[in-house]
Amino acid sequence: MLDSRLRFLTAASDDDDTDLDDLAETGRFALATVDVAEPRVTVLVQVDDQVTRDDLEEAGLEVRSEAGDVYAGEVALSGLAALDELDGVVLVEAARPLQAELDASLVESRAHLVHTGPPSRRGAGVIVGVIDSGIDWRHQAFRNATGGSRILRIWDQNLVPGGGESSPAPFGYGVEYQQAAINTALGSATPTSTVRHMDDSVGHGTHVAGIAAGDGSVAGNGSPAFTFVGVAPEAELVVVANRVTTEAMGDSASTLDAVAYIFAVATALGRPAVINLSQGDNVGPHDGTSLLERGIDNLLGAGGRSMVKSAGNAANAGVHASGTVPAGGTQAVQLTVPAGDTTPDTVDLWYAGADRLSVRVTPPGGTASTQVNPGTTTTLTLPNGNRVFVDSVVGHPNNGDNRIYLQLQRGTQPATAAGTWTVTLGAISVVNGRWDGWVERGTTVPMFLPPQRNDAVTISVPGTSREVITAASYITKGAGVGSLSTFSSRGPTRDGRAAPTLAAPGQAITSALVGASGTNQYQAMSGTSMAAPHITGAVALMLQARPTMRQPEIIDCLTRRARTDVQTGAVPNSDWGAGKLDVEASVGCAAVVSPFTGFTSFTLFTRFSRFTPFTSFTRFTPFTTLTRFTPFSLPPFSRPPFSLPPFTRPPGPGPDPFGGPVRPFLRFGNVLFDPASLALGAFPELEQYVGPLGAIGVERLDQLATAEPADLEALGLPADEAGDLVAYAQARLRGLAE
Amino acid sequence: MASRKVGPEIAMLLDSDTGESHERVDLVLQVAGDAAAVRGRLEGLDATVRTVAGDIVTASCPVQNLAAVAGLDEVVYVELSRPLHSEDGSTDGDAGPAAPA
Repeated sequence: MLDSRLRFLTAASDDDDTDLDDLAETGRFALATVDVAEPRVTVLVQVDDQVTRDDLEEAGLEVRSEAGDVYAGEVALSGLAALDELDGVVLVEAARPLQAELDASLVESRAHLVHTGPPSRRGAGVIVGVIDSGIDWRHQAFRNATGGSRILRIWDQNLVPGGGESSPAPFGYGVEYQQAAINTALGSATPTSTVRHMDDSVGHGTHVAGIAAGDGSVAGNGSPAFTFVGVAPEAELVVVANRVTTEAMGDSASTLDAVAYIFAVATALGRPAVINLSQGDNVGPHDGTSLLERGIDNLLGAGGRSMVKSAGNAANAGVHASGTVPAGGTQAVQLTVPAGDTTPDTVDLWYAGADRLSVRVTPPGGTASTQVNPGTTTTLTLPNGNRVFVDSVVGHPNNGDNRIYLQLQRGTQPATAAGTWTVTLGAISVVNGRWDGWVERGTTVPMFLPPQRNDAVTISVPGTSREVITAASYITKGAGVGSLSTFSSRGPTRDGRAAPTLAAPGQAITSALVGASGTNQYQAMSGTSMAAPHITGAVALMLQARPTMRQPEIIDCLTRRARTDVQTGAVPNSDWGAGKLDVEASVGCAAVVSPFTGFTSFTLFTRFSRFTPFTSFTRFTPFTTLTRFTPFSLPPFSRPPFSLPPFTRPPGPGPDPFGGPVRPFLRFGNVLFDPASLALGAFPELEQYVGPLGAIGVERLDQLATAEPADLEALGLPADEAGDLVAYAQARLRGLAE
Repeated sequence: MASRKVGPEIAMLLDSDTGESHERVDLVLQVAGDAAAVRGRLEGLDATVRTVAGDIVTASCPVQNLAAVAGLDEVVYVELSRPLHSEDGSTDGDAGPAAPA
């Protein structure tokens, strides 16, 4: 089968209106038209074990290198069809011009190694969802090789449907644009009259989308094409544009709608999807029980559904304070209100359900207000004309904890009084005494002051969810390369869970620019907003390797394969989480974990040698995104090499899901073997769990999870891997339980 | 209506002069019970249900019906939709736009 670019080139060569020289100059097609007798294309060819190098060369391929079942070489454009028709050729794809021109963060996170492979993975078939300010869908970074858009849907939540437009069901607001409309607009003289959505002037969403899934194909800002390649440059996009105001970017309800929408689109298209959310909120319990977090967690249960969230940029912004009110005593919490603060300021305090705390509020230079007791909702009118709304709730439905919600209002004054405000918490009854408080974000907002100011526990909601992957930021350009960004919000969560999940490049990241024109195509931005889409792109590549991965499995791979160094220190910790994103290792983990998901019928800890008797096997295609199983049996005490019955593709309508000849493999318990030779060399990632003579299988995952590593060591598994395998099984079980 | 069933912003809204407004507001609710029945009860109060994510629901409804929505037996908790903020450093910390490198 020819890949889409080669099919396009084949068609283009027959089209008098298409200039192959122009296509070659783009660098996107691995096409050479200069100094050759006829146009030639550089390709990678995947073959089955019936095909030899001689066969390929006879079919016109000038072989340059050979790597297992993949050959690299050149072929005349006119010879592609003959090469494709050769029996045993599985896939022919155009080589990708990437390696030496990638930007710093891609190399740092080792994503470029996944792009080049083999096998090359660039996100094809996976949906990257972006919930943000929107996207400049005209940017070249979001096109496919033939110039069409890789954006499947845009839902602009701000727009009101006009003629020919509609809102997506069942949400009933905003305007949805489908890929066909976007492509029509791209070919129109007045594109924005066909697709009215456009990112705002800051272009936060365009930048984020470019990191996760831009292809960097356009030169700009003094750099050649393919300098600023995204992590999953062949993924397709579903974008939801939140409502952007001067104070906010979206809200919790419309964001939950957006998550539901993207997953619904992915389900309808039969695709795996990972969503990026580079926005958050400081208000909330920070223990995973906010309604937005619970709703997102509820939507993340299925395989092929993932979500990544920025940790926040609040590590040095004074947004969090904490302390302990002693039994019978009080504790004063101070915060400074800036001058000209005309908008309401929210301070949100949470404490243990067993405690009862009163609160008084003292403005700058003023006297303390009356005491507000637990279970009271009131508005305090202060002598200076300002007001304070107080909602002191006991036994909050979210989590059973208590909450004191304060909102400072200017009241009759032009602004809330500038200076130091004091919130005094008093012990009515105290068992624990611990409290945590956060100030809401905005353009002019208070900051907590020492000694209660605490820059830990600053990850924004919904980043404290129990399921969402939370991205910290570190530096990959400029001063301090390798260090954590000073702004990157710190964990843990208020209920003591480890957070963030891991760190990714997030400072001075160059990506797609809204309103790009001429040579001005990219801009640099910083923040955990930029770190999150690196991880989102990584997850897209993982889902390409194994589309059914569930969120706990994805987290397990990302965290176990994260890199550590002198800057991360011992992990996990509240700054870095598990360490620095390693895309190559995480994708490798995604691929190698696959034998352990769903194939668990085997005798506990049976060790197999090549002479072990067995009777039942499963034949399937290895490491493909589409797996089909056909059980069959051999007589007892059969010994390899086996004579397999001819493979017959199961009957049924529809296209061949494998896209070519099926290569049979055997499964022994949880481990895959090449039936012809039992050679594992083609699958080095499996060898960590496979000894020279056989495999270790388990009947049930919970048996492995409760095993002593020593049991596995006794069966020949190295000690460090035995523990790793048990830990994996435990993590997977936790994921299934949740 | 138990005050603990509503978020502070709703409590504040109900306590203000706008408590009888026909203006619609966006909500996030935690609900219990049969989903279809909950939807029916909410729609009976002129609420438009948008997303059902397990026991979490998004909806919009007129301000004047907020108290009745919160009073439904099936509603465990209801809060106004909360604003979110971008995390490119425009509002917190020292992150933000930087010169192309």
